[in-house]
Amino acid sequence: MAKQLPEDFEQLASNLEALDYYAILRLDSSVDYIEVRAQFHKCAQRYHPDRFLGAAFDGDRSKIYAVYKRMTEAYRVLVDPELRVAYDEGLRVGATRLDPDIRARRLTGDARALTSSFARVYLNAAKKKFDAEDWQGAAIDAELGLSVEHADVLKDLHTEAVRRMVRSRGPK
Amino acid sequence: MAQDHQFVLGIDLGTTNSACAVVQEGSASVVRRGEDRIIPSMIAARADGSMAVGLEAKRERILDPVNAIYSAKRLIGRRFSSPEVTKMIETVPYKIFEGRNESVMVGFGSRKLSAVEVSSYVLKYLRKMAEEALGQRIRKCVISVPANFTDSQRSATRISARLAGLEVIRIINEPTAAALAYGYIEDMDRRIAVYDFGGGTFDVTILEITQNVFEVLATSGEMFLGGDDLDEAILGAMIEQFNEEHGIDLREHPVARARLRSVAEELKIELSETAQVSRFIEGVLPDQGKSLNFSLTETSLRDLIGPIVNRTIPVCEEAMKIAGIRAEQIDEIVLVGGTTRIPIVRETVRAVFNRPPQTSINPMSVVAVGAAIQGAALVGLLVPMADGGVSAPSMNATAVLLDVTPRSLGVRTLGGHVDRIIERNSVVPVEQTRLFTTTVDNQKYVRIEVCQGESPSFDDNTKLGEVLLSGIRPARRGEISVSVTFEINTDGLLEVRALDSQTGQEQTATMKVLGGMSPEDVDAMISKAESEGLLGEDGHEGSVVRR
Repeated sequence: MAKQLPEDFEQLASNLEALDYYAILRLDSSVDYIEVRAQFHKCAQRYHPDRFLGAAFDGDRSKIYAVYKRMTEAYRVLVDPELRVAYDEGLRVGATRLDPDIRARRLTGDARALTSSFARVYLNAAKKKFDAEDWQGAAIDAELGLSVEHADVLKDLHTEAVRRMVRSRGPK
Repeated sequence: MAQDHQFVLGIDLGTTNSACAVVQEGSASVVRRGEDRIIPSMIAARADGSMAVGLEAKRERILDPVNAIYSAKRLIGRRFSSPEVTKMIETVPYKIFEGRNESVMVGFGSRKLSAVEVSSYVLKYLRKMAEEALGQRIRKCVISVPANFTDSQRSATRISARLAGLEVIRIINEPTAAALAYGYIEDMDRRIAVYDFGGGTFDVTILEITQNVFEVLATSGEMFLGGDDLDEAILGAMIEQFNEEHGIDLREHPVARARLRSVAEELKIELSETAQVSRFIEGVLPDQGKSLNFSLTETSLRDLIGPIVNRTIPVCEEAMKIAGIRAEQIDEIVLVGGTTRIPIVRETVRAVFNRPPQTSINPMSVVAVGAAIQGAALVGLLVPMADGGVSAPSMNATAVLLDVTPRSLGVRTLGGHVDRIIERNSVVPVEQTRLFTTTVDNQKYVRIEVCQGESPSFDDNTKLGEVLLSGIRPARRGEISVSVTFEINTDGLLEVRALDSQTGQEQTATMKVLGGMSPEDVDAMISKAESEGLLGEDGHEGSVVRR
């Protein structure tokens, strides 16, 4: 257990509303999602409330919790490609937090069956192409999704897209 | 003994049996009383008004099954009308009643106890056991719960601990604790299947560990499948043999049955060590003096219990399917629960996952050991060794454990569907906010029904309770919108707050947890326990509590 708060803690806690997600996690805005995750894990080791369970921190308890909670929020948004695009858009006009309505976005039943947010992006892209009858495009996106997560929804969509692609080429 | 040493008790409060462990001088060890490391999660009311807990209660059950309460974990934090409670009412000999706020009460001697109180007596017994072993008062604990426990079950468990005089510094998921006991918290990414076959329940959980983040990929189980079913199968064979020899059907003799059942359990345990066992049981029917000479080989045990053990196979397959992985993608198999000591069960595990399971830590105490390790890490004690001299690389000084929400949280929509607010597998703490709008003019209240689970239909999930927004200012319909924030904290517990989104004024949001207890009820119970001296420093020996 830590004996004292990290020296930059006060600066984080008092500027929480002004700091954007990248600043809170100390990230460059160009980093990829693997770096976001690694950096979040580093921050968690440093700022997780469990590190400061002793009575010495009683006065700072709510601040400690608030800082860490904002870190989990930042992490959740920045590792999700869809949410991150929405966030980056808002950040350009100065919104340091993603709109709560978008943050609590509703997933469709199919998307909920997937755990990886990247597989979800491929699934949505594949579905759009499928609806536009771009069978080949849909099959490629579904296959990309399958490379991230081996899930039934992607497999089924892939099979169906391939079937229609073959059929659309017609009999020889 | 260092007086200033702050022990954190790691507690595995099981459906059938419980255990506790502490970290001492850098290694985790299971707390014992004499030879006993495991105590039955059971309490019994004796005719003289006293109470028996643990093994004594299990003995009492043979004499007076109506007043022996077991499997309280199946009732805790559930609504009286839930299917699980209905099933319990049909199967247990003790009486189950509906209490206030749809809560569950059980008949105990001449009074009624809540499921929370029943568990608190078991926890208090564990606390006393640890205090005797360590020679000092224990105040803090880490308590484990199944990964699929809902918010109401977690809060109820926490209240039980408070009633038992323990402060819960963390609620930990059982499979996470088991994985921690084995020291799987290195930088390496791993997938672990935790196969938990206990006395009354079977669960399999697939975890993914990435740099101290424990993610529950899938958890499946059977609520009513456990070692008790195996005892029942052996008992069936005994009853059959007795019937052949004496022409008497013991199914109509509850006391004789209860006695033979405990013999069946003993035989089952012995057969994990030897190939053949036998027992001569005198005076099966006391008034008729008929005896039974019963013997059982490992081969015949296999025939008896094989079909029951095989029921765990589809559950494991389902979990892998939900997790979207194949058996080859799992790195380790961890065994939890006494039933996994049976060789046939281990063979089955090996066949399903196509690799041998980890067996170096006793499956009956592995969860308690993991909880103790987490407790020590939280208060800053290191753990180089796990129980039994197993060298397990453990959490280093700075490691913190990041758990995720294993179930999604949602609210009921008009059509009876679920609007998800917090998706499962979110790292905690997590908060999400939704706007709720009035639908009639001058509406005073907004009622929001909350559930946990993955089904798209509200009623197929576990209903947690209702959030009531009150004191809404009068206005035309649709003019008022209240933003409600749902937060799941680091213990997996739900908190709800509400704001009038136009005025920024805080609104009263009362979360009524069904099957749970109101803060007033809890306070009343705690002050009653205090007045009875249950929480204090008293030397109050043993398990007997006078009414």
